[in-house]
Amino acid sequence: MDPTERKLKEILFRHFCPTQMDLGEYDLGLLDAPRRDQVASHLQDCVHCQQDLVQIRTFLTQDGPARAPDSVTPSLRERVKVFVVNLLSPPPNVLVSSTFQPALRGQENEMHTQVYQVGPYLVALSFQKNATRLDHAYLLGDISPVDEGGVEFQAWKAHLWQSDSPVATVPLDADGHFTFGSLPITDTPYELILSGPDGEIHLQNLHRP
Amino acid sequence: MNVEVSLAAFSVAGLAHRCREETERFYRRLQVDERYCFELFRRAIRHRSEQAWNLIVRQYTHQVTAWIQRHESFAGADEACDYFVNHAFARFWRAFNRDPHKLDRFSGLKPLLQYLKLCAHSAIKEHVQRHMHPGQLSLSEHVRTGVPFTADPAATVDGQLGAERLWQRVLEIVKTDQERIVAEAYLIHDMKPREIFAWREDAFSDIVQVRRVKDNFLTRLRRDAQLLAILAGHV
Repeated sequence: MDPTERKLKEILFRHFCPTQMDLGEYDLGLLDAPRRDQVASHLQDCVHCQQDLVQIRTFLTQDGPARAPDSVTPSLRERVKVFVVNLLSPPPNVLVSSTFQPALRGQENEMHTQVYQVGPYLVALSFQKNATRLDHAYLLGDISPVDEGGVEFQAWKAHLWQSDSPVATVPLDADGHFTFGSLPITDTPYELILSGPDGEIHLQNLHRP
Repeated sequence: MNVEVSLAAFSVAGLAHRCREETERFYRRLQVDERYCFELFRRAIRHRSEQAWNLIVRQYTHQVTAWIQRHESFAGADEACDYFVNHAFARFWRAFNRDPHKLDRFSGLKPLLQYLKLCAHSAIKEHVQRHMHPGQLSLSEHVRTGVPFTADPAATVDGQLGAERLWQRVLEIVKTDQERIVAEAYLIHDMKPREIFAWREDAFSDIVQVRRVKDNFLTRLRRDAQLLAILAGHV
């Protein structure tokens, strides 16, 4: 091929064709009317774009909704029951008790414990100072139903987040106890999420007292 | 007590957690509450939340990777999957960053993820096209998406203006409708004479005529000083 011809073709090939995104947005019905009409008109004559559109449609419908039921917003009864409490400004009666157990003589294991009622659950959280790393503390927790009986917590997990990054996840035992190992004591609050098959509790702005 | 919690009460972390849980339910073929994932996108787009966006990328990288690996053009693309994953998310972000109200056109999570999938397709397809035909991507794609191209004269703004000038000169050189049809079909669509004839049988008597028109036209093109000057400036 003549070099001039080759260069011309390199530069001009599909010069007027819409972008792949435009073709896809056209197929998804997202283009505004003028642009949609331009693309539709172009598609009448351009074999390349016709082929591209087929490829786009095939790709977008690959592994489609047949794999799983359509997402529908479950009814209130069907949804996982989620409780969200901001510990900086909790609603009345959420904080049930707050206690402080000083360190025993010669030891550094003072403990602050707070108990919250969140929905049908009581959540007790204790920060215990780490005796060997004074800028760290353990977070010990316990969840129990307000009305006794019936709930086992071994399928639950406790997730700790800080600054919108996950810190750690630990399982609960059947009695609802959980422990996070040594955590840095910082001014940045944590968010604790207790998550189970039937319910979930989000405790925001968790600070060591 | 079971009171419906407003989505506004959730932190970004809380939304990301619920989004992950609901996505797990989706893969287990259980009924899904997609509001949390959609709200995460809404926070990223409308509130310009970098944290929300980072969590979306973390949540959906696995899915985007799977889409790309299954794309018919991926095997021949000669580029790592991560490259296309990054470009897919970049395209998605740019599309909504330019127009946050674009989100209003999406009724829920499913069409939003369809759009993310389109971004994955676009990332691969344009990479392949660019390497097959280095000069061919248009100004519209570069300017609209801002996707950085490898050094390629026709892909720069100046290069694209040059392409426009080239085409204008080509149109000035054509003398007949037949030549204009051949110019467009051959130079822009890379059609062979047989294909040109099939496309516009109404304009030509046979394939031989198509070839003759093409040869005459290209001969004039190659000798056109102005065209050659524009081409030279394009290098």
